[in-house]
Amino acid sequence: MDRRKFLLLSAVAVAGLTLAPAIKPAFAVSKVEEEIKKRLGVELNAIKETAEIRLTAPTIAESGANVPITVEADVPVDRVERLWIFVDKNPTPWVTDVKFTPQNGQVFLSTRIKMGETSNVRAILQLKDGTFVMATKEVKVTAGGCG
Amino acid sequence: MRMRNNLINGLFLVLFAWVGFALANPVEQTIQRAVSENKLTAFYFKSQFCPYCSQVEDFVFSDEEVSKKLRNFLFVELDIRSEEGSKLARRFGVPGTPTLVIHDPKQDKVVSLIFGSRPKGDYLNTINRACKLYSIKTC
Amino acid sequence: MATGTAILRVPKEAQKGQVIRVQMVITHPMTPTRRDPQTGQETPGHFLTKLQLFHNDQLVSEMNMAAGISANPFIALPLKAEGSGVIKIAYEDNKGGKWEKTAEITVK
Repeated sequence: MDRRKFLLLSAVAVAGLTLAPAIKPAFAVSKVEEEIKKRLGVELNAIKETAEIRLTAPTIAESGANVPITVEADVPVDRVERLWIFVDKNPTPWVTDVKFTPQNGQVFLSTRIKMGETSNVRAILQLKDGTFVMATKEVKVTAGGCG
Repeated sequence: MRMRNNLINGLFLVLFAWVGFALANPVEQTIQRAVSENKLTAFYFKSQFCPYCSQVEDFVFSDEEVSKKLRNFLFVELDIRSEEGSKLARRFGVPGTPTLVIHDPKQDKVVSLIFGSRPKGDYLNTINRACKLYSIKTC
Repeated sequence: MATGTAILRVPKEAQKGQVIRVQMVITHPMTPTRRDPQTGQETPGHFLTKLQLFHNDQLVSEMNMAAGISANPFIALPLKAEGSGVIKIAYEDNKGGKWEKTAEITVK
């Protein structure tokens, strides 16, 4: 091939290589990331994990129909707007949210949730200053049956 | 004369066939329907108060993908403690509930079976196995 | 028990400023929207959507929920005992069901 064509092809190749990163394919966003973005207006990977929230849930749940969870936080309740619970792999990842007021005295919730399969459970605290903090626990859901 | 006899015989035949179908219980009717529609049957065995059945109904059968695939089969829900249910459960070797059995009504053969509140992926594998074996295109 | 009936448990007495647990169990099926595997048709679920906690008619806490909460929900929420009076829960479901339950507390 003659030099002119070669130079032209090289130019096109270089241009293509520099532009390629901009034409990134959109990463598949998981359902829980979508839900959190929709309801909280924030990206899941922007929320920091904190030891100030204690999320208690069984490591292995006997029945996915009834998984006991307890959330307790050291964050003063006056700083808290709302507590959110999400289960990553549920068809609807949002499970519940609770509005707290200073009359609650502390941030606490105990309840039982449904899980379709082994998944992360997330307790996210929405603070009055607009920031979010989170505790995550993976709960294994074993298969069961009735005899 | 022969024409009339044939006609009467024919009418009796139709009458017996209709009575035979009408007297057949719903499960047998479904199996007959599956044969005539050239479909496999999907029997879902459940029992009252079994939380694992609720789980499978909430998280697996309600799923859009699973529901779409199951439309290629004739889906029958059975209480394992009912007369029909317990008979079929014994015949198919059903260990308990929830159990989904894919069954070939023409060869009277269990194609695939899954027991327990397993995640929807496991149920899809069980269904897909039947789809592959029988080359069901829309599955 | 009939759908919507609740057991509400609070301590009879508390010290002023003490944070107590308000515990409840509500009879409710909490069934999600189900899809018929044969027809693809959806059957709407039946589940609690909201629960409010009041202390002497002042709204303390509000919980939004749906069928992700287990059947016959058990819920425990905190309450700072500021004064004697009535603790009330008011809750409703997606089919127009509305219920209330109260309990009394003495705060020293």
